[in-house]
Formats: sequence, C-alpha cells, structure tokens
Amino acid sequence: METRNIRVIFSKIGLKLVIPYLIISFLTLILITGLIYYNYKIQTNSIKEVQEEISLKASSEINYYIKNIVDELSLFSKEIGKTNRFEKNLNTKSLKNLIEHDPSIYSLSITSIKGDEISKLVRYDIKASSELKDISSEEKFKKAIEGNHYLSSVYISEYDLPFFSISLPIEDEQNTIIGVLSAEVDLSPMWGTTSRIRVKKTGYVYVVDQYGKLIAYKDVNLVKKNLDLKQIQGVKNFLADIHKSETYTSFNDEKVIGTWESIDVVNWGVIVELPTKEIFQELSMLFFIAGFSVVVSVLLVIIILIIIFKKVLKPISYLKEGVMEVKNGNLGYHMKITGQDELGELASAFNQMTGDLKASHAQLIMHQKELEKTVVKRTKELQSKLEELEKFSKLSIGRELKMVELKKRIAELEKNKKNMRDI
Amino acid sequence: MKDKKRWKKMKTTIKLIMGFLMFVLFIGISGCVLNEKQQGTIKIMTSLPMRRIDVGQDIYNGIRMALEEADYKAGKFKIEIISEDDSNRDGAWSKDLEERIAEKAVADPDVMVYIGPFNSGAAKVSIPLTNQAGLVQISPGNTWPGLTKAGFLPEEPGIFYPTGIRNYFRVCPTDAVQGPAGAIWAKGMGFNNVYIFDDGEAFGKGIGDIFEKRAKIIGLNVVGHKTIDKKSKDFTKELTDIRDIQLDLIYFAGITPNGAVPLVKGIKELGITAKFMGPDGIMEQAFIDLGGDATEGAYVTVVGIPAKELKGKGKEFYENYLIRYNSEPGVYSAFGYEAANVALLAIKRAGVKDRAKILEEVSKIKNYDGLFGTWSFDQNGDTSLTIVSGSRVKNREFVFEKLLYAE
Repeated sequence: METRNIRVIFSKIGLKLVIPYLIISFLTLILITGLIYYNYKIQTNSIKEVQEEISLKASSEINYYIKNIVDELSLFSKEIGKTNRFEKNLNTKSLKNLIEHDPSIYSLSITSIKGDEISKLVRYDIKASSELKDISSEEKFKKAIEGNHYLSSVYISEYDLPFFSISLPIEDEQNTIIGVLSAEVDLSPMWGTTSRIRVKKTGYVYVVDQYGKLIAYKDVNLVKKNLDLKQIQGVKNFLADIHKSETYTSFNDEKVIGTWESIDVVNWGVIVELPTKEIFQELSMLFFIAGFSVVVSVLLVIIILIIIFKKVLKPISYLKEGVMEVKNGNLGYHMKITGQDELGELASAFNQMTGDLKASHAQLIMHQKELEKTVVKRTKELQSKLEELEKFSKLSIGRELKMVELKKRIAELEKNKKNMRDI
Repeated sequence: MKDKKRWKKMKTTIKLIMGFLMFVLFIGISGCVLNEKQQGTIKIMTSLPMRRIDVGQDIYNGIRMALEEADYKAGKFKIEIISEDDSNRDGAWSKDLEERIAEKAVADPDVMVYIGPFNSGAAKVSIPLTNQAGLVQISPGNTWPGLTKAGFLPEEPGIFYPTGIRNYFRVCPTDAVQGPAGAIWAKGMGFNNVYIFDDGEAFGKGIGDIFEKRAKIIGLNVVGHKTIDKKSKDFTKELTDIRDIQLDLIYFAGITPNGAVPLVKGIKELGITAKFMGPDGIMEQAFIDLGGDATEGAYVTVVGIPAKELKGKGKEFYENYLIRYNSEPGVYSAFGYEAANVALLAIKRAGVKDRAKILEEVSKIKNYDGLFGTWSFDQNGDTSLTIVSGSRVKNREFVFEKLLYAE
C-alpha cells in the first residue's frame, strides 16, 4: 500500500505539482545562503575597520604614555644642563620632585661625562639611592653619551612588572654633552591597556617589540616567558611593514583575523587579533534561521504532499483504477466518491457513465440473442429451399448427362458409319 | 452528526493553539520581567573581619551610611550589599575565608564591586582572583604598599595582577607614608633607642621594616627587631630579654588580635619604662578595652585623621555617623564611607552593568572631593592622599595629637 502511495506521489501529476514547489524551496535556500554570505562579507569588512580603529587607539595610548615620559625626561635633562645643576643636593631634590610627580618613573640617575653616577634616586629605597656606581660600560650610557636617546628592551623587573630604561644626554648651554640622565620606567599601564582592550567578544590585543618578542598581553604569564612571535603572520607583517588585514594561525593556535599598528616612539607593534570562530558564531544565528527555514520548508513539502495525495492524487488514482477496470470489461465497477469538488463530480459522472454503459451492454446482448434466433429460423428456411433446389438441380443434371451420352452415341455411330463406308 | 464531530475536533485544535500561544506569551513576559530585575540591580560585596575586632564593623557602618544616603541607588541601578566576614573565631583574617568570599563575588554576575578586605595579607589572596575576573576591588584599609607599588618585596605587586590590568584601588594612604611618619614622630619626640616587634604578617612585617629603615636613616638607634608568635598570649620571655636594655620606645608593628594586648600588658607588668607605639592596626577600642591601663599613654599612628578632627565634609560625616549609630566612628569608618561612595560614583558614571566599564570609571576618578580633602587615584590604584596623624591613649580613649609627615 505504502509503495503504491509513494508511486502515487511520484506519479506524473504528483511530480508536476511538487516540482515547482521544490524549485521555489531550492531558490529560497539559495537566496538565504546568498544573504548569509553577503552578511559574512559585510562582517569581515566591518571587523577590519574595527580592528584598525582599535589598533590605532591602543598604539596611540601606549605611544602617548611613553612619549610623555621621554619628553618629561628630555625637558628635565635640558633643565639640568642649562642651569648647570650638577650640584648633588639640588639634583637630588629635582630627582625627588620628578619621581613624586610621575608614578611611572621608578628610578633616576645623573651620570657625569665619565660614567660615574653623581646623583641617584630609587623609589622607596634609600639604600639603593645612596649606592652610586660607574655605569660607563653600560649600553644606556654609551648610547646617550653619543647624543642619542636610548630606549632599552622591555624586561620584567624583580617586582614582576614590565620595566624599561631610558637614557638621554645632558647638554649645557653650548649644546655640549656634559653627562647622562637615565631612568627606569614602569610600563604597567601598557599591560593595562593591552589587557583592557577587547575586540568584539573574544578578540585581543598584544604588543611586540622591534624584534617580534611579546611584551604585553592579557595573560602576563605568557609575557614573562619572553615569547618570540616573529613567525606569526601578523607580527611578520608588522616587522616587514606590510599593512594588511589577514587570516592566519596565531601563537595560541587559533585561526584569527589580524592587523597591526606601530608605536612610533619605540618602534614596537600593537597586533589586534580576532578569532574567526567568533565571526562564525555571529553567523550561527543566521545559520540557525536558515536551518529552521529548511526544516519548515521540508515540513511544508510533506504537508503539501499529504494534501495533494489526499485531495488530488488519490481520487485520480481511483479514477485511473476505474478506467482500467472498465477497460478490462468490469462495467459493474463503482468508483468511491471522495468529495464535492471537480474530481468528485468526475467520479460521479464516471459512475453514471459506467452505469449507462452497462445498461447499453446488456441491451446489446439481448438484441444479439434475438438476432441469433432469427438467423437460425432463416437458416432453416434457407436449408429447405436449398434442398429443393438441389433436387431440381440433380434432375436437370441427369437430363444433361443423358444428352451428353446420346451425343456421344451419335458420334460413335457416325464414326462407325464412316468407318463402314470406308471399308 | 458528522458536522458536530468536526466542530468538536476543531475546538480542540483551537484550544491547543491558544494554549501554546499563552505559554509563549507567559515565557516571554516572565523572561523580560526577570531580565529587567537582574539588569537593574547591582551587588556590592564587602569582605571584612566582622568578629572580635571593631574595625570591620566600623568600616561596614561607613559603607552602609554611604548607601543609605544614596538611597541604595546609583544612577539607574538599585544597589544591593552583601556583607561577608573573612575572620575566624579569634577575629583574625583567614586565607580560606577570604579566598571563598572572593570566589563567590567573582562567580556572581551581579557583583560589580568588591569592597575590602581590611588586612593586607587577605588582599594578597583576593586581588589575583578579582583581577582575573576583571572585578574592581576597592579597599578601605589595606596599607601594605607592595599591593600596588614596586620597591618593597620581590614579585610584588606584579604577582597580584595576572592579567596586567590594575583592578585594585585603595582610598587610604599606605604604610610607605605611615611607617616613616611614625619613625619621624618618634625622633621628633626625642626618643633614641627603639626596639621593634612585628606580628609576621604582610602588614605587620611590612610596616615594621619600613619603620626600621627610616628610623635608621634619621638616626634612631634600632636596638632590635623581632617577629613574635602572633598566637601567643604571653610575651614575658621576649620582654625579659630586653628588660635591661635602656629603651625609649617599643614599636609594635601589627594588629590587635596578633599579640598587641599581651605585649602591652607584659611591658607594664615587667615595669619596662619604654613607651609603646603602634600603627593603625591597633587603633581600635578593643585594644584599649582588652589592654586596660597598660595601654594608657600608647602612641598610635594612623593613615588619615580621626573623624572627630575632620573639617567640612568630614565633619558632616562625623555628625551624621553619631546620629545614625549613636557611637563614635572608628578610624576606618570614614574610609569605608569613601570607598562606597567611590563605587557608587563609578557605577553611576558607567551607566551600564559591566565590570570592565565600572573598573574603568573607578580608575578615572580624579580630584574627588572626599572627607579628607580632594584626592585622585594614581596609575597604581593608590590615593594621592598622604595624610597620616598621631594619636595617644588618654583616659581609655584615643586622643588626636598631631598631623604627621613622612618627610
């Protein structure tokens, strides 16, 4: 029965009715997929913009912070040089003022042109402040004494905070270098900035130095490991100065879309990354809607098929069945009438037609029988006539034969006569 | 007959559909109402020692007063306070309790501010937890500088902030000011030979070392520095050892439940003539009540100024506190009040129920017109206030002596 039903559904008319619907569903699906793709494209573009904006924000924040300290120290070194305050007490007082004014500066020292520390102040550490050293062999002194601003790499201090050193030349009124001002600076706010900034929900920011080493990230433990990230595509782009938003696998093994911005004053890079997973998560709602639509479509198809089956195809199959029955001679077949619609009317007309046909058929048979009787009677009559005729014929044929015989006799007699004459 | 049957079937279907619609409507409405309720309430969790010692209750009273004045509202939000106790039966803070409270605060999505703890040692436990959750923590009473500042103990403060964000703020000055101020005060009063006892905790050991360092620099003679067993009830042995030394001052670096009372009693009992000085860890009525006459004349340093001596807004606070609680505010009541008001202001400014945003708003607080004057949070989360004052026990009361300076 079931196979029959399915056969009915996939009958010619069934297919004719279902196919347009299937086509419409298919087109809708294509439309939904298109919309999702379009949305994905828009999202990707907007993510690019958001990332660029965030990287710019983070880099300018860190840049501003460092530049501010460098400017402050620069101004301070000028002040010392121009006012020639190489006098210990005065220096200590100025150093103290600067340290009190700026919580980022952890220690300050003023060094003579030979590299001996003249004054020094270490925050909260009076003992260390009094231990003056010779720093002439240190990089920070060497660079600054040559007239450069020296910024060291970031290192983790004994207080578990990111520190770095800055040293600047101290020049007198004739712009002659007379010493070096160096400072240790607490970069904790940079850690704060990188950890605070979120890119959408799961995106993040990190900072690498000019060698591609991780120096700020929301997980401080990773930073402490001094990770080398120069193999990460985003960092590679930064180091190669290629500005583009790209999809790659980051150091946490996640697939991300990343972009970068440089912190100009120190030549470090802010990398902004957003796991692609999140983009798909955002699209998942759309996927859900699409999936839901598909399920609804399938359900609708099923419902429509049931309706078609019940209301149209089944009566048609009854009709077909009836026609076949009639074709096979079963004129007594009575079709089930399923409704009041055209198909019902058709079935009723069919039933009426088969009824009429049956009646005519019966009448025909009756006529045939009567005809047969008449034929038998006529045949009999004809038979007797024939017999009479045969008799008459037989008589005629006997006379004929006699005549032929007589003629033959005559011929013989003539022949005999001739023969006789000849003889 | 057939029609009747059909109608009945139809009625059942309609009923089912209506029922389903009602259900959906109910779920929707109740969801909205519930959401509205949760969205509109912000919880502030406090973690303070509420047993045996007064300071926890003093701070809590200050916090409650601030909330009452604000009618338990901040901007569009309703404020709910959850008070937790991090002290054990002896009144001393417990690591496990502080940890549990911090974890509870972190896990509750409605908790947007964590006020406390009082003890610096407890803060070392809770800060890393709140830090990882991005939850702002405001302490009314931690004075150990290493919680925020570099230059005190190795790995501090970095170790407390695993995310690198500074989420911890304090409205009170630190021992980086109080310790030296005590030493300078002692020197100013003409004391020379000083002996230091500390209770071995973050706060006690810390301020003891800071006091010692500064004392040595300014020329005081630090005869000795010993860490006592904070659970001991008798320090006769320790005190007998120093009885014969000509001491001018015994400095106790610690808190009341950690040996302050038996120590001050022992000094009197052994007839040691040296004066007694301690930080604000002992500046509470329980110290006087339990120590009795032995506390008479003791010198105490405290961050800030006793509320009674405050002017302007501070005076107003003092008077309102007296009316509200019918008792004198404790030393830290004003800091509790200040911490709560800072939290309310940040919630109001944030305008959203979001930990990150509220944290950001707390960090942005600058030129705040508070009870002790105008102050700001610096990048480490410390107040710019450096006020420290000296008091003395007179007739079983702390009496304000003078403002102290760290320089």
